[in-house]
Amino acid sequence: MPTALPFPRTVSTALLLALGVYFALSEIRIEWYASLRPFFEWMETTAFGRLGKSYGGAFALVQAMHLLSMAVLGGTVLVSDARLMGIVLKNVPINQVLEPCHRLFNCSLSLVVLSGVFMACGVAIKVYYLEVFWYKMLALAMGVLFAYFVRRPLLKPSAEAVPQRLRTLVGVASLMTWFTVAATGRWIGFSG
Amino acid sequence: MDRILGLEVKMDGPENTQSAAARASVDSKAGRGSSRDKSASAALASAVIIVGFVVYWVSEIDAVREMLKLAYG
Repeated sequence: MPTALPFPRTVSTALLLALGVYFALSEIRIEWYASLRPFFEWMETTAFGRLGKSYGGAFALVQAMHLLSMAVLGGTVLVSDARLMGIVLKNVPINQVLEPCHRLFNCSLSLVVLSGVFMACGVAIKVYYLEVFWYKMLALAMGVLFAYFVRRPLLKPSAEAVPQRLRTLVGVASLMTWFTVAATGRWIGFSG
Repeated sequence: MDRILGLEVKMDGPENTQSAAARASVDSKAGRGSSRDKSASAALASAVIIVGFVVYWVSEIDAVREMLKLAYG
């Protein structure tokens, strides 16, 4: 009878991280990058791409929505991580802060992704050649995976039961990830 | 009816109480194991993210400083 793997979540996290590092350092990344060019060219020919390129007003409107949802997302991350680290709202139970923040986080993340796809369609070839765009996508993917597969399962049952040091570590990692998503996003705006 | 009652008595018997306690102990150990697993994976992922982003931002800031040096001396 096969025995269960001890610490399956930790082992799979370590494997995923190792796979990410291998991908970043190997030739596969360059081949994958080259193979994505036709997809980005196609993105510019879609209705979203044509609308974004032809109507500056539509692009600006969606960009405003993107920035506003990013601000809401940043707010939820800031409040929940600051509470996790024990900086703000110390007299409120942690899960009482995390739960509404998580619901708002879900909504704002959906809006950020939807408006982001529209904006990327309008400037697909430009962002394809921008190194910082790929760092943003990497940070976004890490932020989403971290939020749903690491942070949430750890804190959902009872965040109070998690040691303060670990809560601080998780809070700092989450803040750094979303700070990078926001900062690289602004960088894209200033580039090219 | 007696059988049913007998079964009920059996269910409350010492063996079943012991097995329930053993089951509870196994469940509690599994819960502790799962909680430790979640903590370990969170610590690992957080540490890698923090180190990765510190390296990224330090290299980016260095690159900007180099460019500023080249531009303004």
